[in-house]
Amino acid sequence: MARAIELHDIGMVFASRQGSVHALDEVSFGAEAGEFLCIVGPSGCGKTTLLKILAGLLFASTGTVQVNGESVRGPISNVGMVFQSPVLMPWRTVLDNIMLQVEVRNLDRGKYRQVALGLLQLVGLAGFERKYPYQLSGGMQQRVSICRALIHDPALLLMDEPFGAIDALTREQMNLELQRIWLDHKKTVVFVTHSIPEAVFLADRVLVMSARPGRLLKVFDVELPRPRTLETMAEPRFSRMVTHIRREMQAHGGLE
Amino acid sequence: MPTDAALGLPGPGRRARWLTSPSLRPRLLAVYHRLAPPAYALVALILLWYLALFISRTPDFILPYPDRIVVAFFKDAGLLYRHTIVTLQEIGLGLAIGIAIGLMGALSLVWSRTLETAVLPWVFLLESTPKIVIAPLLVIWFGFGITTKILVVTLLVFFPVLVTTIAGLKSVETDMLDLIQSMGASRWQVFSKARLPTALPSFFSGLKLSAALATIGAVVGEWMGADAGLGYLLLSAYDSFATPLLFAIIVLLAMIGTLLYQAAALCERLMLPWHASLRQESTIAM
Ligand SMILES: Nc1ncnc2c1ncn2[C@@H]1O[C@H](COP(=O)(O)OP(=O)(O)OP(=O)(O)O)[C@@H](O)[C@H]1O
Ligand SMILES: [Mg+2]
Repeated sequence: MARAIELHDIGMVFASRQGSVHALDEVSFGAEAGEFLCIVGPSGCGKTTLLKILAGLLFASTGTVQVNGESVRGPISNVGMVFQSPVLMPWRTVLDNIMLQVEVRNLDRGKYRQVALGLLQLVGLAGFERKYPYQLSGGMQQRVSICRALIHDPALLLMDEPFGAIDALTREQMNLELQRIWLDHKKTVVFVTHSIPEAVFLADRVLVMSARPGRLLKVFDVELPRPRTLETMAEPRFSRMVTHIRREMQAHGGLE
Repeated sequence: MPTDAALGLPGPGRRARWLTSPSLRPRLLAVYHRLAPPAYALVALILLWYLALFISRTPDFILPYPDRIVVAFFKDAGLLYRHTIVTLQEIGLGLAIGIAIGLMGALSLVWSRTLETAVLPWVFLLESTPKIVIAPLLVIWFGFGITTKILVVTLLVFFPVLVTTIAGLKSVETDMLDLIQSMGASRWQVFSKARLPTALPSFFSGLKLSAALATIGAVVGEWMGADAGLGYLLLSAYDSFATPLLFAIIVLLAMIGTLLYQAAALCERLMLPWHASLRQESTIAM
C-alpha cells in the first residue's frame, strides 16, 4: 500500500524583485498512515512552506509530493490545516467559523453542529460558540482554529505551531488531548513546533531541519510508549532525547 | 393583583422607575455628554453671527440674520418642497444606478482575469481624473431633462463604489485563501465565503463617499441647465439676490448630504456589527 505522504527532493526558491530566497533544499521524507511526525527547526527555515507544499497550496520548485500514492497537483482535500495564525473570519461567530469546514464540504450541518460543540468543550471553550473572534484572546482563537481542522475527521492533519500562543498549562492539556484524538482516530499528523519537549512528547519521529535553506538534518525515532502522560516528561529517556535533539540543532547553528 | 407595571401600563410608578433605572441613567448621561458640546458650539456660532452682523451692519443680501433664514424656510416652504422632491429623485435614481454599476463592475473585474488585466489599469488611471468634466457631453447626448441629472449623479457615484469594492475584493489574506482552498472550496465558494465578506467594509466606505458625491452630482447636473431642482432654485435665488432663500437651500442640501451619509453608515453598522472601526465607536457610544 502507498504511504500516506511521500516527499522527494523538495526544493523551493521564492523569486521576487528584491532577489530570490532559497527556502528549501532537497527535503525528502515520508510517513505511513497513522504516523505522527514533528518538525523542528530554526525560524525561517521553511517549515510553513513545507506544510503548504504538502497541502498542495504551494508548488515546489523541484521534487515531487505524493499523498496516498497520488501526485499533488493542487489543494488536497482530505486534510485539516491549522495555520500559524488562527485565520478566523471576523464576520463569523466561533461556531460558524468551525462550521465553515462543514459548509464548504457540503456535510450535514445539523449533525456536525453537535460535533463542533463537543470539540469546543474539548478545547475548553464551551459557552463561547456565539462569540466573535475579536472577543477572544489569541490563544482562544487558535484553539477555535484547531476545532475547525478536526471537525470533519480528516485522514491527514497539518499543524503549524498550533500551540504557540497558548500558556504552558493549557498547552500540556492540549498536547494530551491531541494525543488522545490521534490514538482514537489514527490520523497521519505533521506537526511543526519550536518546542523540542513538545515534539518529543507527541511524535513518533522528530524531523530536525537546518537554517535556511532548510534541509533535513536528522530524523529521531521516539520510542516512548503510548499513551504518554505528564509523568513521561519526567523520565530520563525523555530528557535524554530532548538533549540529543537540542545538541543537534545547536551544532548546526539553529537556536530554539 | 397585577400592578400597572406588570401589565405594561405607563402608570406614574412605572415612569418613575424607568427614569431612575440604574442602567438607564448613565446611558442618558452619556448621550448628553455626546450631544451637548456640539449643541453649545452651534449656539455660540449663532450668537457670534448676530454679534458680528450687529457690529458690522452688513447688508441683508450679503449675510442675513439667522432668523431671516428660518423665515425663508417657512415663507417658501412650498417652493422648497417642490424642488427638493425633484433633486431627491435625481439623487435616488442616480445613486441606485451608480451603486449597481459600480458593484457589478467590481465583481466582474475581479472574477474575470482577462477583464482585470485589460480594464483595471484604466480604472485606476481614471480614478484621479475629475469625472464632472463629462457633464457637458451628457447634456449634448441626453438634453436638459432629468436623464442627464441622473447620469451625472451616476457618473460621480459609481467610481468610488467600483474602486473601493475592487480593493476590498483583492484584500483577502493569502492564509484565508489557503484555508478555504484546503477545504476543497469551489471558485464560487472562495468568492462568496471569503472574498465577498472581506470586501464589505471597503464597499461601505465607498458607499459613504458616494453618498457625499451624489448631492454634488445632482446640483451640478441642474446647473448645466434645468427648470426644477434645488440646484436650479439656488441659481435663481442667486440671480435675484434672495440671500435668505439661498441660505435655506444650502442648509437643505447639507441636510440631504448628511442624511444620505448617515443612512449609509447605518446600513454599515447593521450589516457589519463585527467591523473593527465600528466597534470602537460603539464602546464610546455606550
Ligand atoms: N511567499 C513568499 N515569498 C517570498 N519568500 C517567502 C514566502 N514565503 C516564505 N518565504 C521565505 O521563505 C523562508 C521560509 O519561510 P517559512 O515561513 O516557511 O519559515 P518557517 O520555518 O515557517 O519560519 P517560522 O518558524 O518563523 O514560522 C523565509 O526566509 C521566508 O522569507
Ligand atoms: Mg512558519
